[in-house]
Amino acid sequence: MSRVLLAFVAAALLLPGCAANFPRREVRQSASVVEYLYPKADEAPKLEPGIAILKPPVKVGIAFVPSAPRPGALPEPERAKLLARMKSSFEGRDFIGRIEVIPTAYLRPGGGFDNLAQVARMFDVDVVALVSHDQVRFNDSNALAVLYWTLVGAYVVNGDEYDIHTMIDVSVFDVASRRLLLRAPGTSRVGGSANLANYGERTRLAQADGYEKAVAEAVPRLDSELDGLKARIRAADPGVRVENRPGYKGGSAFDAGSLAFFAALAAFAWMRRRGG
Amino acid sequence: MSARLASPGVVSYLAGARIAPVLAAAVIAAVLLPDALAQRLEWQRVPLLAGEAWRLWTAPFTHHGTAHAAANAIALLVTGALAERAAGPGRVAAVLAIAALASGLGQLAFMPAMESCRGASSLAWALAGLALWAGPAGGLPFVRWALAGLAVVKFWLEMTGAPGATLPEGVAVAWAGHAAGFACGIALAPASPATRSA
Repeated sequence: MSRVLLAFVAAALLLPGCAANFPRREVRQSASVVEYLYPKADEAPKLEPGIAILKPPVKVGIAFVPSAPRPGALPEPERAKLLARMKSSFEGRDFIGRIEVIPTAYLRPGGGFDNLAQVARMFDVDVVALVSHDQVRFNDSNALAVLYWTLVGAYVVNGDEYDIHTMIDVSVFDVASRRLLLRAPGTSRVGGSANLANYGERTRLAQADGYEKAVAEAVPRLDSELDGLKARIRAADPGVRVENRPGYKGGSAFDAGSLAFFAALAAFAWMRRRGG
Repeated sequence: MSARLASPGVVSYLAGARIAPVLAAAVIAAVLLPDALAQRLEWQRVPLLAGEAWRLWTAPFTHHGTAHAAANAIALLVTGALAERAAGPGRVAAVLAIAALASGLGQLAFMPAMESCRGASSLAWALAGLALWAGPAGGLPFVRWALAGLAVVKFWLEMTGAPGATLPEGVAVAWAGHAAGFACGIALAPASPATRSA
Protein backbone atom coordinates (compact mmCIF):
# COMPACT_ATOMS: atom_id res chain seq x y z
CA MET A 1 0.00 0.00 0.00
CA SER A 2 2.81 2.28 0.88
CA ARG A 3 4.31 1.60 -2.60
CA VAL A 4 1.09 2.65 -4.31
CA LEU A 5 1.03 5.80 -2.23
CA LEU A 6 4.62 6.50 -3.13
CA ALA A 7 3.79 6.11 -6.84
CA PHE A 8 0.94 8.60 -6.58
CA VAL A 9 3.13 11.11 -4.80
CA ALA A 10 5.85 10.72 -7.43
CA ALA A 11 3.32 11.19 -10.24
CA ALA A 12 1.92 14.26 -8.57
CA LEU A 13 5.39 15.73 -8.34
CA LEU A 14 6.22 14.89 -11.96
CA LEU A 15 2.98 16.29 -13.40
CA PRO A 16 3.82 19.96 -12.86
CA GLY A 17 7.22 19.24 -14.42
CA CYS A 18 5.62 17.92 -17.62
CA ALA A 19 3.26 20.84 -17.77
CA ALA A 20 6.08 23.29 -17.29
CA ASN A 21 8.12 21.78 -20.11
CA PHE A 22 5.30 21.65 -22.58
CA PRO A 23 5.51 24.29 -25.36
CA ARG A 24 3.20 27.27 -25.51
CA ARG A 25 -0.02 26.82 -27.44
CA GLU A 26 1.07 29.26 -30.15
CA VAL A 27 4.60 29.89 -31.35
CA ARG A 28 5.30 32.57 -33.95
CA GLN A 29 8.30 33.38 -36.14
CA SER A 30 8.06 36.40 -38.34
CA ALA A 31 10.08 39.04 -40.12
CA SER A 32 8.16 41.84 -41.74
CA VAL A 33 9.48 43.79 -44.70
CA VAL A 34 7.58 46.88 -43.51
CA GLU A 35 9.20 46.72 -40.07
CA TYR A 36 12.59 46.33 -41.70
CA LEU A 37 12.24 49.13 -44.23
CA TYR A 38 10.15 51.54 -42.11
CA PRO A 39 11.27 50.85 -38.53
CA LYS A 40 10.22 54.17 -37.05
CA ALA A 41 7.00 54.64 -38.89
CA ASP A 42 4.30 55.70 -36.46
CA GLU A 43 1.84 55.84 -39.29
CA ALA A 44 1.52 53.95 -42.55
CA PRO A 45 4.59 54.65 -44.72
CA LYS A 46 4.05 57.13 -47.51
CA LEU A 47 5.52 55.61 -50.61
CA GLU A 48 6.94 58.32 -52.83
CA PRO A 49 9.22 56.31 -55.04
CA GLY A 50 10.94 57.69 -58.07
CA ILE A 51 11.15 56.02 -61.42
CA ALA A 52 13.06 52.76 -61.28
CA ILE A 53 15.81 52.89 -63.88
CA LEU A 54 16.90 49.36 -64.70
CA LYS A 55 20.12 48.82 -66.58
CA PRO A 56 20.21 45.29 -67.97
CA PRO A 57 21.71 42.96 -67.10
CA VAL A 58 20.16 43.84 -63.75
CA LYS A 59 22.20 42.61 -60.79
CA VAL A 60 19.96 41.02 -58.19
CA GLY A 61 20.45 40.29 -54.51
CA ILE A 62 18.19 37.92 -52.56
CA ALA A 63 17.95 38.02 -48.79
CA PHE A 64 15.69 37.09 -45.93
CA VAL A 65 14.32 40.06 -44.04
CA PRO A 66 16.25 40.15 -40.74
CA SER A 67 14.47 39.82 -37.44
CA ALA A 68 15.54 40.02 -33.83
CA PRO A 69 17.27 36.78 -32.77
CA ARG A 70 14.90 34.42 -31.06
CA PRO A 71 14.89 30.69 -30.25
CA GLY A 72 13.53 28.46 -32.97
CA ALA A 73 14.23 30.91 -35.79
CA LEU A 74 14.94 29.43 -39.20
CA PRO A 75 18.65 28.51 -39.24
CA GLU A 76 20.90 30.18 -41.80
CA PRO A 77 21.67 27.00 -43.81
CA GLU A 78 17.92 26.44 -44.26
CA ARG A 79 17.55 30.06 -45.36
CA ALA A 80 20.38 29.67 -47.87
CA LYS A 81 18.69 26.57 -49.27
CA LEU A 82 15.37 28.37 -49.70
CA LEU A 83 17.04 31.42 -51.26
CA ALA A 84 18.84 29.17 -53.73
CA ARG A 85 15.45 27.85 -54.87
CA MET A 86 14.17 31.38 -55.36
CA LYS A 87 17.37 32.32 -57.15
CA SER A 88 16.45 29.83 -59.88
CA SER A 89 13.48 32.05 -60.83
CA PHE A 90 15.82 34.89 -61.71
CA GLU A 91 18.28 32.73 -63.63
CA GLY A 92 18.18 32.32 -67.40
CA ARG A 93 16.50 35.67 -68.05
CA ASP A 94 18.19 37.86 -70.60
CA PHE A 95 17.63 41.08 -68.64
CA ILE A 96 19.04 39.68 -65.39
CA GLY A 97 22.74 39.32 -64.81
CA ARG A 98 24.50 38.27 -61.64
CA ILE A 99 22.39 37.00 -58.73
CA GLU A 100 23.79 37.18 -55.21
CA VAL A 101 22.40 35.33 -52.20
CA ILE A 102 22.90 37.73 -49.28
CA PRO A 103 23.24 36.13 -45.83
CA THR A 104 20.84 37.56 -43.23
CA ALA A 105 23.76 38.56 -41.02
CA TYR A 106 24.56 41.38 -43.44
CA LEU A 107 21.20 43.04 -42.81
CA ARG A 108 20.33 44.83 -39.60
CA PRO A 109 16.87 44.40 -38.08
CA GLY A 110 15.00 47.67 -38.61
CA GLY A 111 17.84 48.94 -40.79
CA GLY A 112 15.55 50.61 -43.32
CA PHE A 113 16.43 51.61 -46.85
CA ASP A 114 19.78 52.98 -45.66
CA ASN A 115 20.86 49.53 -44.56
CA LEU A 116 19.46 48.05 -47.78
CA ALA A 117 21.49 50.53 -49.83
CA GLN A 118 24.66 49.70 -47.86
CA VAL A 119 24.22 46.01 -48.51
CA ALA A 120 23.38 46.62 -52.18
CA ARG A 121 26.61 48.59 -52.54
CA MET A 122 28.59 45.93 -50.72
CA PHE A 123 27.28 43.15 -52.97
CA ASP A 124 27.14 45.38 -56.06
CA VAL A 125 23.49 44.70 -56.86
CA ASP A 126 20.83 46.99 -58.34
CA VAL A 127 17.69 45.38 -56.98
CA VAL A 128 17.09 43.29 -53.89
CA ALA A 129 14.47 40.61 -53.42
CA LEU A 130 13.52 40.68 -49.73
CA VAL A 131 11.91 37.53 -48.41
CA SER A 132 9.64 38.17 -45.44
CA HIS A 133 8.01 35.35 -43.57
CA ASP A 134 5.38 34.70 -40.96
CA GLN A 135 4.97 31.28 -39.44
CA VAL A 136 2.60 30.33 -36.65
CA ARG A 137 2.66 26.94 -34.97
CA PHE A 138 -0.39 25.91 -32.97
CA ASN A 139 0.19 23.23 -30.35
CA ASP A 140 -2.69 21.10 -29.07
CA SER A 141 -3.09 17.94 -27.09
CA ASN A 142 -5.52 15.23 -28.06
CA ALA A 143 -7.31 12.65 -25.97
CA LEU A 144 -4.41 10.22 -26.20
CA ALA A 145 -2.26 12.60 -24.18
CA VAL A 146 -3.77 11.13 -21.06
CA LEU A 147 -1.61 8.05 -21.67
CA TYR A 148 1.48 10.13 -20.98
CA TRP A 149 0.71 9.28 -17.39
CA THR A 150 2.04 5.83 -18.07
CA LEU A 151 5.47 7.30 -18.90
CA VAL A 152 5.86 4.70 -21.68
CA GLY A 153 3.02 6.52 -23.40
CA ALA A 154 5.14 9.63 -23.63
CA TYR A 155 7.38 7.71 -26.03
CA VAL A 156 4.87 5.74 -28.08
CA VAL A 157 1.58 7.63 -28.10
CA ASN A 158 1.11 10.65 -30.33
CA GLY A 159 -0.83 12.70 -27.87
CA ASP A 160 0.20 16.11 -29.19
CA GLU A 161 -0.75 17.78 -32.44
CA TYR A 162 0.70 20.70 -34.30
CA ASP A 163 -0.67 22.86 -37.05
CA ILE A 164 1.80 25.12 -38.83
CA HIS A 165 0.74 28.00 -41.06
CA THR A 166 3.47 29.64 -43.11
CA MET A 167 3.47 32.67 -45.35
CA ILE A 168 6.44 33.70 -47.49
CA ASP A 169 6.45 36.94 -49.43
CA VAL A 170 9.11 37.95 -51.94
CA SER A 171 9.24 41.71 -52.49
CA VAL A 172 11.64 42.95 -55.14
CA PHE A 173 12.83 46.53 -54.60
CA ASP A 174 14.84 48.79 -56.84
CA VAL A 175 17.34 50.10 -54.31
CA ALA A 176 18.09 53.47 -55.93
CA SER A 177 14.47 54.55 -56.39
CA ARG A 178 13.11 52.53 -53.41
CA ARG A 179 10.38 51.33 -55.73
CA LEU A 180 8.63 48.03 -55.23
CA LEU A 181 8.94 46.31 -58.59
CA LEU A 182 6.99 43.16 -57.87
CA ARG A 183 5.94 40.79 -55.14
CA ALA A 184 5.12 37.10 -55.03
CA PRO A 185 3.58 35.38 -52.01
CA GLY A 186 3.40 31.71 -51.09
CA THR A 187 1.60 29.97 -48.26
CA SER A 188 1.48 26.51 -46.77
CA ARG A 189 -0.13 24.55 -44.00
CA VAL A 190 1.49 21.52 -42.41
CA GLY A 191 -0.13 19.48 -39.69
CA GLY A 192 0.81 16.38 -37.77
CA SER A 193 1.11 14.70 -34.43
CA ALA A 194 3.92 13.57 -32.18
CA ASN A 195 4.54 12.09 -28.80
CA LEU A 196 5.97 13.98 -25.92
CA ALA A 197 9.49 12.67 -26.52
CA ASN A 198 9.84 13.57 -30.18
CA TYR A 199 7.57 16.59 -30.29
CA GLY A 200 10.42 19.08 -30.57
CA GLU A 201 12.14 17.25 -33.41
CA ARG A 202 8.90 16.61 -35.33
CA THR A 203 7.78 20.21 -35.14
CA ARG A 204 11.19 21.52 -36.14
CA LEU A 205 11.14 19.35 -39.27
CA ALA A 206 7.53 20.29 -39.96
CA GLN A 207 8.34 23.98 -39.66
CA ALA A 208 11.15 23.60 -42.20
CA ASP A 209 8.74 21.65 -44.41
CA GLY A 210 6.26 24.51 -44.09
CA TYR A 211 8.83 27.00 -45.35
CA GLU A 212 9.77 24.73 -48.25
CA LYS A 213 6.14 24.29 -49.31
CA ALA A 214 5.49 28.02 -49.09
CA VAL A 215 8.56 28.73 -51.21
CA ALA A 216 7.46 26.05 -53.69
CA GLU A 217 4.20 27.96 -54.05
CA ALA A 218 5.94 31.33 -54.30
CA VAL A 219 8.45 30.32 -57.00
CA PRO A 220 5.96 29.91 -59.91
CA ARG A 221 4.33 33.17 -58.90
CA LEU A 222 7.73 34.83 -58.88
CA ASP A 223 8.38 33.42 -62.38
CA SER A 224 5.07 34.82 -63.53
CA GLU A 225 5.71 38.21 -61.93
CA LEU A 226 9.14 38.43 -63.55
CA ASP A 227 7.56 37.66 -66.93
CA GLY A 228 5.01 40.33 -66.13
CA LEU A 229 7.75 42.83 -65.27
CA LYS A 230 9.29 42.35 -68.70
CA ALA A 231 5.88 42.82 -70.31
CA ARG A 232 5.29 45.97 -68.22
CA ILE A 233 8.62 47.40 -69.32
CA ARG A 234 7.78 46.66 -72.95
CA ALA A 235 4.40 48.31 -72.47
CA ALA A 236 6.17 51.45 -71.23
CA ASP A 237 5.24 51.27 -67.54
CA PRO A 238 5.66 54.89 -66.36
CA GLY A 239 7.29 53.70 -63.13
CA VAL A 240 10.03 51.66 -64.74
CA ARG A 241 12.52 52.74 -67.37
CA VAL A 242 15.20 50.68 -69.01
CA GLU A 243 18.57 52.11 -69.93
CA ASN A 244 21.25 50.06 -71.50
CA ARG A 245 24.44 49.63 -69.54
CA PRO A 246 27.34 50.59 -71.83
CA GLY A 247 28.37 47.55 -73.82
CA TYR A 248 25.60 45.31 -72.54
CA LYS A 249 24.25 44.61 -76.00
CA GLY A 250 26.52 44.49 -78.96
CA GLY A 251 25.92 44.80 -82.61
CA SER A 252 28.24 44.08 -85.40
CA ALA A 253 27.35 46.93 -87.72
CA PHE A 254 28.50 49.45 -90.28
CA ASP A 255 28.54 53.19 -90.33
CA ALA A 256 29.77 55.85 -92.74
CA GLY A 257 33.40 55.22 -91.72
CA SER A 258 33.11 51.53 -92.54
CA LEU A 259 31.51 52.22 -95.90
CA ALA A 260 34.27 54.73 -96.72
CA PHE A 261 36.82 52.07 -95.84
CA PHE A 262 35.18 49.52 -98.14
CA ALA A 263 35.02 52.07 -100.94
CA ALA A 264 38.75 52.68 -100.48
CA LEU A 265 39.32 48.92 -100.45
CA ALA A 266 37.42 48.56 -103.73
CA ALA A 267 39.49 51.38 -105.25
CA PHE A 268 42.67 49.66 -104.02
CA ALA A 269 41.57 46.39 -105.63
CA TRP A 270 40.79 48.16 -108.86
CA MET A 271 44.16 49.98 -108.89
CA ARG A 272 45.99 46.78 -108.02
CA ARG A 273 44.42 45.00 -110.97
CA ARG A 274 45.30 47.92 -113.20
CA GLY A 275 48.84 48.03 -111.82
CA GLY A 276 49.39 44.26 -111.72
CA MET B 1 39.36 37.23 -119.06
CA SER B 2 42.23 39.67 -118.66
CA ALA B 3 40.04 42.41 -120.08
CA ARG B 4 37.36 41.62 -117.52
CA LEU B 5 39.91 41.56 -114.72
CA ALA B 6 41.44 44.79 -115.88
CA SER B 7 38.11 46.53 -115.81
CA PRO B 8 35.85 44.44 -113.67
CA GLY B 9 33.11 46.89 -112.73
CA VAL B 10 30.67 46.41 -109.94
CA VAL B 11 28.31 44.15 -111.87
CA SER B 12 30.94 41.69 -113.01
CA TYR B 13 32.39 41.59 -109.50
CA LEU B 14 29.05 40.72 -107.99
CA ALA B 15 28.19 38.29 -110.78
CA GLY B 16 31.46 36.47 -110.23
CA ALA B 17 30.90 35.96 -106.50
CA ARG B 18 29.44 32.67 -105.36
CA ILE B 19 29.46 32.72 -101.59
CA ALA B 20 28.78 36.37 -100.75
CA PRO B 21 25.31 36.57 -102.42
CA VAL B 22 24.17 33.41 -100.65
CA LEU B 23 25.45 34.72 -97.35
CA ALA B 24 23.82 38.12 -97.86
CA ALA B 25 20.51 36.50 -98.80
CA ALA B 26 20.66 34.31 -95.69
CA VAL B 27 21.30 37.37 -93.53
CA ILE B 28 18.26 39.13 -94.98
CA ALA B 29 16.05 36.03 -94.71
CA ALA B 30 17.04 35.53 -91.06
CA VAL B 31 15.40 38.83 -90.18
CA LEU B 32 12.10 36.95 -90.43
CA LEU B 33 13.06 34.58 -87.62
CA PRO B 34 10.95 34.96 -84.47
CA ASP B 35 12.79 36.81 -81.73
CA ALA B 36 12.69 33.81 -79.41
CA LEU B 37 14.59 31.77 -81.98
CA ALA B 38 16.98 34.64 -82.72
CA GLN B 39 17.79 34.75 -79.02
CA ARG B 40 18.75 31.07 -79.19
CA LEU B 41 21.07 31.81 -82.11
CA GLU B 42 22.68 35.12 -81.13
CA TRP B 43 26.01 35.51 -79.38
CA GLN B 44 25.36 35.34 -75.65
CA ARG B 45 28.15 35.20 -73.13
CA VAL B 46 26.62 32.95 -70.47
CA PRO B 47 25.21 30.23 -72.76
CA LEU B 48 28.40 30.28 -74.83
CA LEU B 49 30.50 29.67 -71.75
CA ALA B 50 28.04 26.95 -70.78
CA GLY B 51 28.83 25.10 -74.00
CA GLU B 52 26.40 26.44 -76.64
CA ALA B 53 29.22 26.79 -79.14
CA TRP B 54 26.94 26.89 -82.17
CA ARG B 55 26.16 30.49 -81.34
CA LEU B 56 29.61 31.46 -82.64
CA TRP B 57 28.51 30.48 -86.14
CA THR B 58 24.81 31.35 -85.97
CA ALA B 59 25.19 34.81 -84.41
CA PRO B 60 26.21 36.49 -87.69
CA PHE B 61 22.78 35.65 -89.09
CA THR B 62 20.92 37.44 -86.30
CA HIS B 63 20.41 41.20 -86.40
CA HIS B 64 18.86 44.10 -84.53
CA GLY B 65 16.27 44.85 -87.18
CA THR B 66 15.98 45.16 -90.95
CA ALA B 67 18.21 48.23 -91.39
CA HIS B 68 21.02 46.54 -89.47
CA ALA B 69 20.67 43.35 -91.54
CA ALA B 70 20.43 45.22 -94.86
CA ALA B 71 23.58 47.27 -94.18
CA ASN B 72 25.51 44.15 -93.25
CA ALA B 73 24.20 42.25 -96.28
CA ILE B 74 25.45 45.00 -98.60
CA ALA B 75 28.82 45.02 -96.83
CA LEU B 76 29.04 41.24 -97.20
CA LEU B 77 28.22 41.48 -100.91
CA VAL B 78 30.92 44.09 -101.57
CA THR B 79 33.70 42.60 -99.44
CA GLY B 80 32.74 39.05 -100.41
CA ALA B 81 32.98 39.84 -104.11
CA LEU B 82 36.39 41.50 -103.65
CA ALA B 83 37.66 38.64 -101.50
CA GLU B 84 36.46 35.93 -103.85
CA ARG B 85 38.09 37.70 -106.76
CA ALA B 86 41.35 37.94 -104.81
CA ALA B 87 41.45 34.60 -103.00
CA GLY B 88 38.83 32.26 -104.48
CA PRO B 89 35.64 30.83 -102.97
CA GLY B 90 37.35 28.00 -101.10
CA ARG B 91 39.55 30.39 -99.17
CA VAL B 92 36.60 32.69 -98.56
CA ALA B 93 34.57 29.84 -97.07
CA ALA B 94 37.47 28.84 -94.81
CA VAL B 95 38.04 32.42 -93.68
CA LEU B 96 34.34 32.89 -92.90
CA ALA B 97 34.24 29.76 -90.75
CA ILE B 98 37.40 30.64 -88.84
CA ALA B 99 36.59 34.35 -88.56
CA ALA B 100 33.20 33.57 -86.97
CA LEU B 101 35.05 31.59 -84.31
CA ALA B 102 37.79 34.21 -83.87
CA SER B 103 35.42 37.18 -83.62
CA GLY B 104 33.18 35.37 -81.14
CA LEU B 105 36.14 34.50 -78.96
CA GLY B 106 37.54 38.02 -79.35
CA GLN B 107 34.30 39.44 -77.98
CA LEU B 108 34.41 37.02 -75.07
CA ALA B 109 37.94 38.06 -74.22
CA PHE B 110 37.94 41.81 -74.86
CA MET B 111 34.35 42.93 -74.23
CA PRO B 112 33.62 41.52 -70.77
CA ALA B 113 30.58 43.75 -70.19
CA MET B 114 28.85 42.57 -73.35
CA GLU B 115 26.21 39.93 -72.67
CA SER B 116 24.76 39.50 -76.16
CA CYS B 117 25.60 40.44 -79.71
CA ARG B 118 24.12 40.20 -83.18
CA GLY B 119 25.45 40.98 -86.59
CA ALA B 120 27.49 39.80 -89.57
CA SER B 121 29.89 42.68 -89.95
CA SER B 122 32.72 40.78 -88.25
CA LEU B 123 32.57 38.45 -91.24
CA ALA B 124 32.54 41.39 -93.63
CA TRP B 125 35.61 42.79 -91.91
CA ALA B 126 37.26 39.36 -92.24
CA LEU B 127 36.52 39.40 -95.98
CA ALA B 128 37.87 42.96 -96.17
CA GLY B 129 41.12 41.82 -94.53
CA LEU B 130 41.32 38.90 -96.93
CA ALA B 131 40.68 41.10 -99.97
CA LEU B 132 43.26 43.62 -98.80
CA TRP B 133 46.04 41.14 -98.13
CA ALA B 134 45.47 38.37 -100.72
CA GLY B 135 48.14 38.33 -103.40
CA PRO B 136 50.80 40.96 -104.01
CA ALA B 137 50.03 44.61 -103.40
CA GLY B 138 50.32 45.29 -107.13
CA GLY B 139 52.85 48.04 -106.66
CA LEU B 140 50.77 49.69 -103.93
CA PRO B 141 52.22 48.39 -100.64
CA PHE B 142 51.91 51.79 -98.99
CA VAL B 143 48.21 51.94 -99.80
CA ARG B 144 47.73 48.45 -98.37
CA TRP B 145 49.41 49.37 -95.09
CA ALA B 146 47.60 52.72 -94.97
CA LEU B 147 44.24 50.98 -95.33
CA ALA B 148 45.16 48.49 -92.63
CA GLY B 149 46.13 51.41 -90.40
CA LEU B 150 42.82 53.13 -91.12
CA ALA B 151 40.99 49.96 -90.14
CA VAL B 152 42.86 49.89 -86.83
CA VAL B 153 41.92 53.53 -86.19
CA LYS B 154 38.32 52.66 -87.00
CA PHE B 155 38.33 49.81 -84.46
CA TRP B 156 39.86 52.13 -81.86
CA LEU B 157 37.10 54.68 -82.47
CA GLU B 158 34.50 51.93 -82.09
CA MET B 159 36.15 50.79 -78.86
CA THR B 160 35.98 54.31 -77.43
CA GLY B 161 32.27 54.51 -78.01
CA ALA B 162 31.54 55.65 -81.56
CA PRO B 163 27.92 54.62 -82.19
CA GLY B 164 27.02 52.21 -84.98
CA ALA B 165 24.81 54.04 -87.47
CA THR B 166 22.50 51.09 -88.11
CA LEU B 167 22.33 49.91 -84.51
CA PRO B 168 19.44 50.72 -82.19
CA GLU B 169 20.10 53.24 -79.43
CA GLY B 170 22.05 51.80 -76.54
CA VAL B 171 23.60 48.93 -78.48
CA ALA B 172 27.38 49.08 -78.49
CA VAL B 173 29.48 48.32 -81.55
CA ALA B 174 31.23 44.97 -81.25
CA TRP B 175 34.67 46.35 -82.02
CA ALA B 176 36.50 43.26 -80.77
CA GLY B 177 34.61 41.08 -83.25
CA HIS B 178 35.45 43.48 -86.07
CA ALA B 179 39.14 43.59 -85.14
CA ALA B 180 39.39 39.83 -84.68
CA GLY B 181 37.63 39.20 -88.00
CA PHE B 182 39.86 41.66 -89.86
CA ALA B 183 43.02 40.17 -88.34
CA CYS B 184 41.78 36.70 -89.21
CA GLY B 185 41.20 37.70 -92.86
CA ILE B 186 44.73 39.11 -93.12
CA ALA B 187 46.32 36.12 -91.38
CA LEU B 188 44.61 33.64 -93.68
CA ALA B 189 45.20 35.57 -96.91
CA PRO B 190 47.17 33.63 -99.54
CA ALA B 191 50.47 35.05 -100.75
CA SER B 192 49.50 34.56 -104.40
CA PRO B 193 46.29 35.73 -106.03
CA ALA B 194 43.49 33.35 -106.95
CA THR B 195 43.86 31.78 -110.36
CA ARG B 196 40.36 31.39 -111.52
CA SER B 197 38.11 32.93 -114.03
CA ALA B 198 35.27 34.94 -112.62
